[in-house]
Amino acid sequence: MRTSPYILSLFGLGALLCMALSAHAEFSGRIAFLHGDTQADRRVYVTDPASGDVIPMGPGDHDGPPVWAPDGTHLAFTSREGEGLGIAVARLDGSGFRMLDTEAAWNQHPAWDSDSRRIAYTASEGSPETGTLRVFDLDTNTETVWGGGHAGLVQPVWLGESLLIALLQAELEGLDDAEAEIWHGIDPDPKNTLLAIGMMGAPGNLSTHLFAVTSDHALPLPDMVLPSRGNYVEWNIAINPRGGRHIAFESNDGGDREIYNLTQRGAFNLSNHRAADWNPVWSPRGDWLAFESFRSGRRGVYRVNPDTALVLPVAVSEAGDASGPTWSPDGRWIACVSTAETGSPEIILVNLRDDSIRLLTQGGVNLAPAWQPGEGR
Amino acid sequence: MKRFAFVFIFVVFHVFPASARQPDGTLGVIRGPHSGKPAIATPGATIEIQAIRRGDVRLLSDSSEHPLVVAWREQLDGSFEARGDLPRDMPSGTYTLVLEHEGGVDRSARAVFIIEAFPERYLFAHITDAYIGQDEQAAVHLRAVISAINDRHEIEPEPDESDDADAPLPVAFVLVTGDLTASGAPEEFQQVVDILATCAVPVFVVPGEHDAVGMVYEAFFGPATYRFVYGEDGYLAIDTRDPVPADDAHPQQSLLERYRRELMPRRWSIGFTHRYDPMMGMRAQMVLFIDAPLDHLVFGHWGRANTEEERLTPWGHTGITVTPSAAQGAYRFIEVGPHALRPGPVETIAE
Repeated sequence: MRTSPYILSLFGLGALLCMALSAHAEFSGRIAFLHGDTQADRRVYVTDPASGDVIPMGPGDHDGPPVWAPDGTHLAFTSREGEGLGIAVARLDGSGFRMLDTEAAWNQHPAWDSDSRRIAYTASEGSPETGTLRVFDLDTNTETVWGGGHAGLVQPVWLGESLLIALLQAELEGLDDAEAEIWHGIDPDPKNTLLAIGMMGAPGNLSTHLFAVTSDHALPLPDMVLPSRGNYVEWNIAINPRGGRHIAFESNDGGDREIYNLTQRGAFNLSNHRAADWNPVWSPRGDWLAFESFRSGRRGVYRVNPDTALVLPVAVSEAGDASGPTWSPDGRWIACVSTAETGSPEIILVNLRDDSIRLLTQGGVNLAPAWQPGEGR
Repeated sequence: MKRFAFVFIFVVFHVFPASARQPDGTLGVIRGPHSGKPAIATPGATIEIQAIRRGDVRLLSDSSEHPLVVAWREQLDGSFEARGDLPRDMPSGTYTLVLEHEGGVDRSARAVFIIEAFPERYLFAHITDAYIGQDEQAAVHLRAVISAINDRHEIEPEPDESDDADAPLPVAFVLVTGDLTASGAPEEFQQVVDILATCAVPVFVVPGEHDAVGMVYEAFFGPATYRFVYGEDGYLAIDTRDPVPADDAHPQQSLLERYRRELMPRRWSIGFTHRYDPMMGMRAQMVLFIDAPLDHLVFGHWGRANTEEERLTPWGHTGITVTPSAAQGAYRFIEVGPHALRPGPVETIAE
């Protein structure tokens, strides 16, 4: 169902109206998001919160959540290709749209490297348990299988500036010679290392684990870096932009789903509530971690200080659910999805200093906001 | 003459209760409960009503009429929700929900089913993949399956069998897990509504990928993610119609977590959906099968039954039952009791 001209004009007007009261200097960077009543007509758009301008990206056919390149010049997102999903790339003005030449039918979870020249993603023929990680080099237009072809790897993230591997290599104990040799054989260059979720076990007894992945290896992180031993299910790895060894992730270790922060001193439960806690997202400076929680009864967005574990509400309401937090480049705002304003999913902007809320969209179903990183503005 | 007009109007409104559905079969002012998502309750219980206008509410059967006192709350999207307590002396039966609003009168046939008490053991029927519109046989087979379920529903235990563990169990309701239609066309949905209306027991539906054409499914059956309670047990409807079923960005995720937690104290928590697929959004899988796993999941799509080896989801905690296509005349009953869930064998209509 194609509604884009009508919707564009509708929410272009709505966006302009919503932004009428905003000072231009308040917002920096553009926000990409999904709009569409159904999965079939979801399309990625980019809007400038200051001006209200809206630009569609690509044709819009089962588009997935947009992911900005670190330099802020391009977006990557999944989109329908044949009977599966491909990886689409476009410039922030909508030009240069192309589908990457991938081998597998189903490609998901695109992740840009720190140089904005490579994209890692999950590739499979329809079953994540048999999927592999691929890296697409935009300069050479080539796809490479990573992790030595290890099956069952999903949701990759680039280590970036993180020193995790180097720190692990220095601290590993209790490993037999063969395993230690593999770990010490890994190039500690974080720019060429991914972290990913790896499926473990057989059907009927599946769990997951955190894996370090290079072009040739896929190694489960030693149990010592995880909250405890056991078969748990981890998800949503988030690397702290400050580097070092702060890595957040979800786990149901402990009986309910929590946000953990992996530091040099071990893994700590940051969210620590009996209600489900999901989706950690670091602030640009790495000094706060936004996440989702059902602790109020409805799904809400919160932020936690990783040093003190102080939790503050960002978008919490009895009237609706909030999700999908993304930080402004200056760390003063969080954009997220909220149903508390109109009953439908809208993108709102929350000022973290005065808790004021601005409505970015109005009408239809709006999802998965992603705030442009500071470099590309 | 006036007396005749009054009698005529009385007869029209009470002997021929029109459906809430529009002439094209879509939902009217009343958005729930309706014939694809009814309320099953005992006298004195509270039911919830959703509508796009508020007004006076009553329940109507062939033999009785009961006004309900309800309190309407306006929702953010301009619709209304109400809660109403059923009379404590309300007879068992199938009721049409009637809403008199400023613009007229709306009726939702087969919206409320009143029963004396929830049994500790019961059956529910599982139908899937009817593909109405595929060919004439699809409708013939679905009617025959419904008829077979009705026949089973009418079997009552002998007086001396009431405490017998092998006595026939009542058929409580039917779950229809998607691909109701062949192509999601409105006329196909209308035919589905008409055929399911011949069922003697309540019917709950969810969409499949064949039903995924814009918002047409919602026009006929409302939101595809919902839950209901039957006695001690909870049932959770999951929307898996999309190519990436229940994907992580879908607003459904919030509902699944809340509904799952609501149903956790229940004796059994049973999910029903069109399909389980490894490509299913990981968030939904964590909510439903990992963090607080459902006891059982009922689905279709495969065109066959699950084998002995295919008893659980890959995560290991949730049992599964897969039934072949109703378009081929297949259906089955699942027994729900205090100690176990027992899927019965696949049954096939006689040609």
